[in-house]
Parts: sequence; structure tokens; C-alpha cells
Amino acid sequence: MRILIVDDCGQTRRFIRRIAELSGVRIEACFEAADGREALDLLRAEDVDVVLIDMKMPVMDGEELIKAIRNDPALRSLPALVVSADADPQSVARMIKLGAAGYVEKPFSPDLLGRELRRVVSVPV
Amino acid sequence: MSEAGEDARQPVSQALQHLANRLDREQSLEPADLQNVRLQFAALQRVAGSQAGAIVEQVRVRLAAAEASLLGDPPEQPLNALAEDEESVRDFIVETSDHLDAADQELLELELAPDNPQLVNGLLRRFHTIKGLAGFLDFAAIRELAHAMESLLNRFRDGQSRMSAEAADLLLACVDALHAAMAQLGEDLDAGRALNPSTPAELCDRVLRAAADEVLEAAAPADSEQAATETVAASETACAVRPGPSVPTTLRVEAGKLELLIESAGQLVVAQALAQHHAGGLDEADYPELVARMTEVYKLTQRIQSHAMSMRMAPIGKLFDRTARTVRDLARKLHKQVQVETVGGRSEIDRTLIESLADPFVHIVRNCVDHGIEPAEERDRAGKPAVATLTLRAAQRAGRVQIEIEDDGRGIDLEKIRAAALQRGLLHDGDNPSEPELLDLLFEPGLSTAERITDISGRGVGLDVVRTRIESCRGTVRATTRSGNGTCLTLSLPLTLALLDGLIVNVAGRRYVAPLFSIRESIRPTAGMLRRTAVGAWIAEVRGEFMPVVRLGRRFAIPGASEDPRQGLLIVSEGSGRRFCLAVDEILGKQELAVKALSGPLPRIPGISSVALLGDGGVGLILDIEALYEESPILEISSDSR
Repeated sequence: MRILIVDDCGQTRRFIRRIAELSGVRIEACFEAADGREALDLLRAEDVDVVLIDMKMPVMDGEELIKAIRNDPALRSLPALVVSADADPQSVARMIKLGAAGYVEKPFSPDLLGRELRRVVSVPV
Repeated sequence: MSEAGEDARQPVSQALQHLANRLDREQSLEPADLQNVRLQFAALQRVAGSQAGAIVEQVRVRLAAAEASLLGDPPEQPLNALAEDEESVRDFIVETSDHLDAADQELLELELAPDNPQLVNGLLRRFHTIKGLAGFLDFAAIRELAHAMESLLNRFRDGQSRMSAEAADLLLACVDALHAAMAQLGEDLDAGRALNPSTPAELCDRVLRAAADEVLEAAAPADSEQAATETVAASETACAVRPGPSVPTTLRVEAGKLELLIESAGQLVVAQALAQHHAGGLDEADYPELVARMTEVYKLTQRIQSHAMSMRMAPIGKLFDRTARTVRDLARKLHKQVQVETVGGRSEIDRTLIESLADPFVHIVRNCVDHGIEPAEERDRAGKPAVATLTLRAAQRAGRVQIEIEDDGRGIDLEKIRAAALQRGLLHDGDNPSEPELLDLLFEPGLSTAERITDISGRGVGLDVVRTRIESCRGTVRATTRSGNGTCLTLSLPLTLALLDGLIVNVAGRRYVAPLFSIRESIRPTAGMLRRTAVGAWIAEVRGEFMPVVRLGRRFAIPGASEDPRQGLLIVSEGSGRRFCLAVDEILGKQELAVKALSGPLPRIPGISSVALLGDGGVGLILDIEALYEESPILEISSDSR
């Protein structure tokens, strides 16, 4: 599986990457981006199966990134998994309304991430 | 939610259907999965609208069933997959410590400028990140404390509350607690112990109470007007000083590896010098290629040496930041208002020097805040601003760094120093010291001009310790004062302890290195300059000043050394404010030397601080000037007879 981790904290990205590697899902490629803008540039250049998106980010936050992905014909079907430490049901709902394929609350175990990754790539958006 | 519309509700129904299918399909969900489903369901319910009523109900029933089937199951295991990975934990410590260092400073700034939204948002991000990372490692105490801090900061952001001195105390205490937790984690990792970092639960409670309690700010309404004007002034300086966000590309390297590299670079310089020395006799016309290559090697060696040295350096601003925090805490304790201004914090200095300066700095700023800076009423009477200013300034001058710590307090009363010095026998009736000489007495042991003794400073210890510490770093310290207008302490320090400007001297065929910073002059003794006392010690009279003489040959019991100092040279040296002469045979030269500490099986030799590699590959012992004076038995006799 080729994944993209979008989070403004480099250490958090590394932690998520390690958890993904421990999840049992075979990670063929793992890309990282520090904000929505970087993520979009990367998605247009690389082939990615699923994108993990933090909500709070500078430049372009998670919500704007999901909107941009849904509005881009080439990216429309890319599953997006929202990853955040704040379980505010309203924002989660807003993200799902916008088309996020799922939500995982930080912190999460490798098992949970593995299951969510397998689930979202198998479900058409 | 009315703007959601039909097309937006469709994915909601789909997602709900998906949840229902999932609950059907998977007979027993893991607790974490169930929690996940529960969260998604709660979220979807809010936006589902009336059309999705049936599917909402389906999910609700299935969810209840799944929850029931889980009852009695053991609670989920902690997700410590990453906590077992040492590298992840070390990364966490480094990352968190960086955030804490920055947060410390930002909290001080926020206290001065409570309405600066950028500061609040920056701090929020830091503690949010710490919370998130601690969560992944299952460090519950750290996560909870960071979360509580975030809650309090959120109130500031939303304008429900405002940063106050009390809130700053609390948040700074949290930063300290988190720092302590990082230290504990590091120690536990090194010792191979189980990782369970803790923070005081009571502290976390206080933060949560503060975040819930709206009257925290209203604690001191009396001086709100003053606080408001203060804030305006402070926010201007805070904005002016604050550097823009910078993202330095840094690589973390183990300190030991770096030391090895620096040491090798030092040896390379010596090896290169040796090669150059041996090749010196070659004619360039005969070996043009070799000579050209040698020149290139020389240049590269110099470059490697200077880069290696620069790796030991760190900006002195780190020390200034720490000091600003000390000043803030002291001022709070003494009910004084002090703002700290820093200039030149980017000047770089040897890391080890920064560590060695930390304690002396605390002593100095304690003196400033406790004695130098007047209470607000007294400042008011003198027509000074109520908020005192303590300025920390650093600049590089002629291969050394000069640091000034200046306050705008009442200054030092020279008459009080004179009286105290007379009382303690440091001065005698009839002595007429100049102002710098009087101020130098401040650094003598046992001299304190404080009228009252407080728990902050003023027990007569302090400044003498400061001088000892600074001199052990090859530095000097002096004070200047303007009566009624403040005091300035000026420290001069080498940029690094790894290099030393030394005077190489010869004593009976052995080479010693006298550090240049402790040498005033060298003199060839004239007839009558040296006198022998009744007990056999030598005294030199240099321009009317009598100084004891230490004969190096005798001091180190070198066989064949001359007993008569009149045949050699006198080097006038200074340590701990005392002057004396070193008698040597001759001066061989002046050189910048790479210093190596005496370690391992070598015993500590009194009077020798370390060794230096000399240009010809030989070794010279570096003299510890102060110890030579203190430990010389001959001097005790001669100083008695003074």
C-alpha cells in the first residue's frame, strides 16, 4: 500500500509511519507532507492509495485539503482517513460530510490503523 | 447544518450504512474499533437529518449489541508498541524538550503581551503536539498535563480569560514538570528501567481548575490600569525582539562522536604542522608539486579545524533565555517588576562555557534583582519607570566574547564598600583605592554591602564564587556603576576552551605554557628588583608594587633548575585579583594551542590544568596560574611578611 501522511509535526509523521509499518499492512511507499498545499503537490506527482490527514495544520488545513481532493477530478476517488487528537464530533461529522472515508483518533494502535487502512482502500468513495 | 443539502447528506447515509454492515459483518469488535465506530456514529448522527432516521436506528441497535457482547472482556491493552522502541522514545524526548525550551520563553513573552494571539496559538500548537506524541507512547501523565495546559490556553485564545502572572506561574510550573519528566525518561532509558514518566497530579488539577474557573484573572483588579499600560510597552519590545520563524536544518549527533571528531581535527593540525616543519627545508623549485599540495593540505586542515570548533559552539541566547526565566521568578518573589532585554543573543560560544556560566549568571541576576533594583515606590521617587530593565548583552571582540549584565537600579554605594573592606581588613586606614579598585573588592570573599540579609542573596557569598567560576573558564569579570542609575557587570570570556593563546616558556629544558589571559607582562629583572627575605622567599618590586615570586623550577622540583631568579625572566601573572611573578629561564614563543584535559591514569598535578600539543608534536604542560599562587608554600610565608 502506498500511503501519504499529512501532519505539520515531523515527529508525529514519523510516529504514524512507524505505527503503519507495525500494522501488518505492507507499506510499499510512505510519503509525508507538512500541510495541505504540500500534500496536493505530492498527490499530483505520486501514485498514492490512501491519504492520512491531520485536521489542524498551517497554510492549508485538513478540511480544505479534503475539499481540494474532492474537487480534483484526478483525485476524487482517493480515500482520505482523518487523523486527529481532538474527538470533536462536529468536526468529524463535517469531515465525513466532505467525503472523508474514516476517522481515527490519535493515539491509535498499529492494529486499529491496519484495519482502518484495509477498510478504506476496499470501500469505493 | 441546513446548507448541507441533498448531495451532502448522501455520503452520510452511505457512511451510516457502512457502519451498520460493519457491525453485522464483524462478530466481535476490538474495543478500540468499537470506540471508533461509536465516534463516527456520534458524528454522523449530528448531520444525518430526518431522512436517515431508519439507518440511524439500525446502527444504534447493532452498536448496543456489539457493546453488550464486549462486556466482561478485559480492558484494551495499552498501545505501547512505540514505547518499546527506544529510538521513538529518544526522539520524543528531544522533540518535547525543544518545544518546552521554546514554550518557556514564549510564556514569558505572553505574560508581558497577554493579547498577542500569535503567541497563544504558537503555544497551543506546541502543547497539542506534545499531547499527541505522548499519546502514541502511552505516557498518560504527560498527555494529561499537556491537555490541561491546552485547555487553559484555549480560554486565552477564545478571549474567555487572559494570561496573568498567576496563570504564568502555573503554566511555567507545568513546563518545569514536563522538563523533569523528560529527564526522568532519559535516565530510565539509560538505566534500562520501565518507562513510566510522571507529572504531579496536583499540578494538572490546578491547571484544569484554572481552565474551568473564570475568576482566576480577576485576582488582582487593583493594578489593572497599570498592567494595561505596561502591556502596551512590553508588547512592542516583545514584537521587536522576536525573531521570525526559522527552520534550521539540524542533525542530532551523539556528543561523544563530536568530541572525537574535534579531537581528531586538533591532532590533524599538529600532524600537518609537523609535516610542514619537516618539509620546510625543501626548495619549491625542486618539488613544485609537493609544495603546492602541502599548501592545499594546510588550508584544508585549517578549514576542518575551524568547522570542527564551530560544532562546539551554541548561541549565548540559550543562556539569556534561562536567565530571563530566573529574573522573572525572582522579581515575582520580591514583588518587583523587571523586564529583561537581550542584545546579541546570537553570538556563539563554547557549549561547555554556557553550562559553566549558568550558576554565575544566577548569582549575578540575584544580586541585581535583590539589591540593585529598587522597590517600585523608591523608583517612583527617583523619577524612574516602575518597571526596571535588566539588559543582557553579548558581543564578540578580538577573539573573546564580552557579556554585560546591566540593571537600571540604584547602583553600588562605593562608601559602603570602603567601610566593609576596612572592617574586614581588605583595606587599611590611609589606603586610597580608585573606583575600579574599590569595585574589584566586591569579588573578594566575605565582602557584602547588603544592609539586610534575605533568602535570595546577601550572605556575603556570591560574587567571590562568581569570580572563581569565571576565572576557571579563563575569563575575567569587573563591575562599573553609576550612583542612582545602575550597575553593569562585564564578563570577558574565550570563545572556546578547546583553544588557548599561550606563552611557551622554558624552565631547565622543560616547556610549560602560561595562558596569555592571566599574564600582564614579562620583565628581565634589573639589579635591585629582586630581594630575598629572611625566610628565603623572593620578592620582586615592579614599579613600586611588591609581588611574591614563584620559581617554577623549584615549584615543580625540576633537576638542574636555577635557584636564582635574577638570571632568568619574570612573568607578571594575575589570578583571583592577586599579582605575582613567575620566574622562568626564557620565553620560547606565543602560540594558539589545542588543549587536552588531563584524564585517565594521569594523576592531577597541582599547578597544572591540562596539556597542550605544541607545533613540533611535543607536549607542554599548561600552568594553572591560580593554583600556583594558592598552593605554593613559599608564598604563604612571603605574603605574611608583606
